[in-house]
Order: sequence, then C-alpha cells, then structure tokens
Amino acid sequence: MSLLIVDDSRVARMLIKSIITEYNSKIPIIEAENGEQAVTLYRKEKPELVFLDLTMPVMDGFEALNKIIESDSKAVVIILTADIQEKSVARCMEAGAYMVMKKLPQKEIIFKTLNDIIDKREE
Amino acid sequence: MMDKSNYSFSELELDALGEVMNISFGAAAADLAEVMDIFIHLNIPYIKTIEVAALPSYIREEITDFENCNVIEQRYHGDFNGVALLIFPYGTEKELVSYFQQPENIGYESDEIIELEREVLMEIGNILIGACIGRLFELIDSSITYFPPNVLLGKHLENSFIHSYLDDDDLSITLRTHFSFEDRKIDGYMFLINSKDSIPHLKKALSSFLEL
Repeated sequence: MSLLIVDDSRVARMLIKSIITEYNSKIPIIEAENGEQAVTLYRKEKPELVFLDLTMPVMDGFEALNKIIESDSKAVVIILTADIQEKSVARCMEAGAYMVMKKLPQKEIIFKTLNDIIDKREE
Repeated sequence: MMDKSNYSFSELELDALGEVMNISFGAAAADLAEVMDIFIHLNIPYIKTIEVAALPSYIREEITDFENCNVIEQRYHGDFNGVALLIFPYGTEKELVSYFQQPENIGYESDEIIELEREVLMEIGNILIGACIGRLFELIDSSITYFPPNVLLGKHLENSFIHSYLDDDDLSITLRTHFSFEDRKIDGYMFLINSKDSIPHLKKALSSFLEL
C-alpha cells in the first residue's frame, strides 16, 4: 500500500503520519500541501489511498477530490477534515469519497479503516 | 516585564495553533449550520502575534467599515485570559435576523427590530464563540470560564477592551478566521485575542498537543 497525505498544515500531516507509521512503518507516504499538488502527485504516483483535507489554499479539497475521482474513478480518498457540516460530508460522499473523518484523527478509527481497505483489496 | 523573546512562537507552534483553531471553528460552524440550516464556507485560519496597542488598527485594516460593524465580544479567563470577537459587517444583522424570523413576526416596531437584531447577534455569538473556544481549549487540555457576551459597534471596541484588562505593551496572540454563508452574502470574522499571561501556558499546551 502507498499513501498520499494532503493538508496545508504540517502539524496535521505529522499527526496522521505518526498514526500510519505506527500501523505499519513500511507504508510509503508522500505529502502535498494543497489540492493542486495533490492532483499532480496523484496522477504521477497513483497512491492506493489518499487522506485529503478540505480547507486549503490554492485548490481546496472539494475540487481536488473531484479532479482525483475524474482521473481515477477507483481512487480511495478519505476526507480528513475539521469541516464536519452535514452538507460538506454529503458533498464529499456524492463526489466519490470513501469516507469522511473528523479531525483530530483517531488512531483506532484509522487502523480499522486501513484494515477494511486492505481486506477489500484482497477480496 | 517579561522578555519579549519569550513570546515568540516557532513555525511549528504557529502551525499547531492554526490547526487547533481550524478544528475548533469547524466544530462551531457545524453547530451553527445545524441550527440555522445553512452551509458555512470556511477559510484557513491566520495566526499573528501583535502588540495590544496595534490591535485596533490591525482589525480595522482587516475589515471594511469597521466603525459600524457589529461586534460580539466575549471575554474569558482561567488558564488563558483573553477575548473572542465575532464581527459581522454593518447591515448583515438584518440578513441574520431573517434566518430566525417567522413570517408572523414581521411588522415589528423599529426599536423591537433593533432589539431582535441584537438578540440574534448574541445567539449566533453564543453558538460560534462558545463552541469554538470550548473545543479549542479542550484540544489543548485547558480550562477557562466565560463572561457573558456583549454586542457593540466597532467604533466602541477600543474603549471596551483595550483599556479594561490588556496593557498596551502586552503582546497578544491573535487567531483570525474568515467565514461566509453560502446562500447569502454574509461574511464574518472571528478573532481570539489572548493576553501575554496566557503565552507560557499556551506554549506548554501546544507542546503537549504536538506529542499526541
């Protein structure tokens, strides 16, 4: 599995990275600071999973999600966001997000989600 | 007087503070969106350390026609001493009332309308400030107590808080976020201004947050 973490906050990226590393330190992780970088990196590296923030400069997460799904309809994108309004969650799910997680990331939820994704892939 | 170099925040600390503000305001916006059945467009929070004496001009620069803006001010004290300011440009109070007003209530006298606008501003302030600050201080494991909120015009803000409990040469840490309601042209700003006494505790709290 390879993973792309997208967040304009370095601290937010550090927090999720430390959880992923605890889950499996061998998972290659690449990072982007905004939606535009994320789309470019996704197309180039084709990571198997993306953690995507919504509120970001240059290109926000909503637009990045649309562009990623547009280029790969099977992309697995987890929205990790502080914007937990029902309409934001619905918009992400309609656009093809795998799920929406509320910040701060919870270790148990991330571990369970990663297990589920790996199980589905192996089916 | 405390050495001002002790006030400086590292890039990582400022980033952590921005993230904490982002999470806290996101939770507050979700609460308000549910109550008002609206969608709130969120922006990236901005963090700045600034001398108290320069605060009014800083806020004026950020907000057009600040003198006539509606300001909901709520002070807090405890592990942190500071003030939360929720600011809506002049005129938006009428728009905000329309979210709450029932058709049968239309036809108020002008003084009743002014009172209603004030109550709506207080209620929105109560939800947004309360939820945001509550979540923020919970995230950094700190405890505060609130004073009741107050609504005033921008032009009265300087006298309201600058001289009441913050010294001019205090360095404050200002967290600003800008938001807008999707279906109407309503912009708002929130500032959290913490006194210099709060800074050592804040730095300690951020250090714990970064170790999560």
